[in-house]
Amino acid sequence: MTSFAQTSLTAPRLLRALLSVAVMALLLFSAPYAAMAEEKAVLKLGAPAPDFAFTSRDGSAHKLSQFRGKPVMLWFFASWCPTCISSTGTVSQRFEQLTAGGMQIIQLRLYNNLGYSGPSAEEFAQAYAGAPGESQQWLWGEASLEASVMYDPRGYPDLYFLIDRDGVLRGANGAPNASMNDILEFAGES
Amino acid sequence: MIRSALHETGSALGLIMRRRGYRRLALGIFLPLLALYLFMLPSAFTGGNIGLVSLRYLNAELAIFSALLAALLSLSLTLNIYAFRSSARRKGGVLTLGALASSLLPSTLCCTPVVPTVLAFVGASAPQIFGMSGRVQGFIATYETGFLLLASILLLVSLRLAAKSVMGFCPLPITNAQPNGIRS
Repeated sequence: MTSFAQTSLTAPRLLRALLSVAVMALLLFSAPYAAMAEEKAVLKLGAPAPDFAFTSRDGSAHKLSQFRGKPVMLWFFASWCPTCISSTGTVSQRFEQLTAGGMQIIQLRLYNNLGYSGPSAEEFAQAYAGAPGESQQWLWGEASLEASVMYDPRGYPDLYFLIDRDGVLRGANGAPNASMNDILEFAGES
Repeated sequence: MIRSALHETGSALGLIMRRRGYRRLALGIFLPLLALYLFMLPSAFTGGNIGLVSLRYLNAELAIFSALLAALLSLSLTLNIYAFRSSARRKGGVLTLGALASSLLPSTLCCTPVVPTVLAFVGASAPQIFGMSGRVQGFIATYETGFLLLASILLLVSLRLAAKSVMGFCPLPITNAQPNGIRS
């Protein structure tokens, strides 16, 4: 009886101890990753936009740096995201205004669509961008894992960057349809 | 069973709607809730930005859900308040909260920084955030209508339970009471 009572008291305590160790280990091991993510997370406005390569829908290889000399709207999206769909429609409607000053729009589907299935960048462009989506001033492609993590380590499904002619980050936001005035201002001033 | 449930719910609603104070209360709860839903539900299309910008994306489906959810929630709350004042045993509080949460999930969690920020806060690594964030938000975005339907069903059940507690409570009049309180 005594040994049974002792066993039954010991087992929950042991379980609690094991659980505590497991939680601490998880926190200890994840903290460095979180810290690394934090270091990488924030691209500083006013700093040069990190360069990366991508392939556009017509199969051409591009690098972000090749667009120096033009203002760029670099937009990472997920094709299941309702905000991305509605914003693409808004950008399409305002395309002429946005690109009148030579702004280049680069819209890249995040790596693996952020883990949830959806149309490819090509299919998305055809469905929601209309005729302006065919323009060379609106390039579409799939972002590599490296580029996706570099620019969007938190995995926001809708995130854009405004890069000036010198390749410097000047702005970042989500939902272009809600922040269209800022984008138009950038496109007009650049 | 459904007929009796409908009858009982209708009677409970009729009971409170006959009183001007409760009619005003129901309307006073309904109108702000309607405004809340009309602005919040379309914000799933504006990355969580709420205001005139989200109102632009209000469509027929979202307008109907806004009115339905606001009406069910206001009636449920009014019935619960009546039950509280009548000292009846209240039911359905958890369901009401659950319905409220379910109705607001699509606009608050999808395509907003909420999920990635929470994941980062609990110490998830960048690859983990990258994988999990999209799965959660993608699921919510894809089944938004389902979440709203679920919220509506939960509210209907909550309304039914509130009506049951209102109709089930029947305070006994104390007649010919003895000094010790026992009725003869």
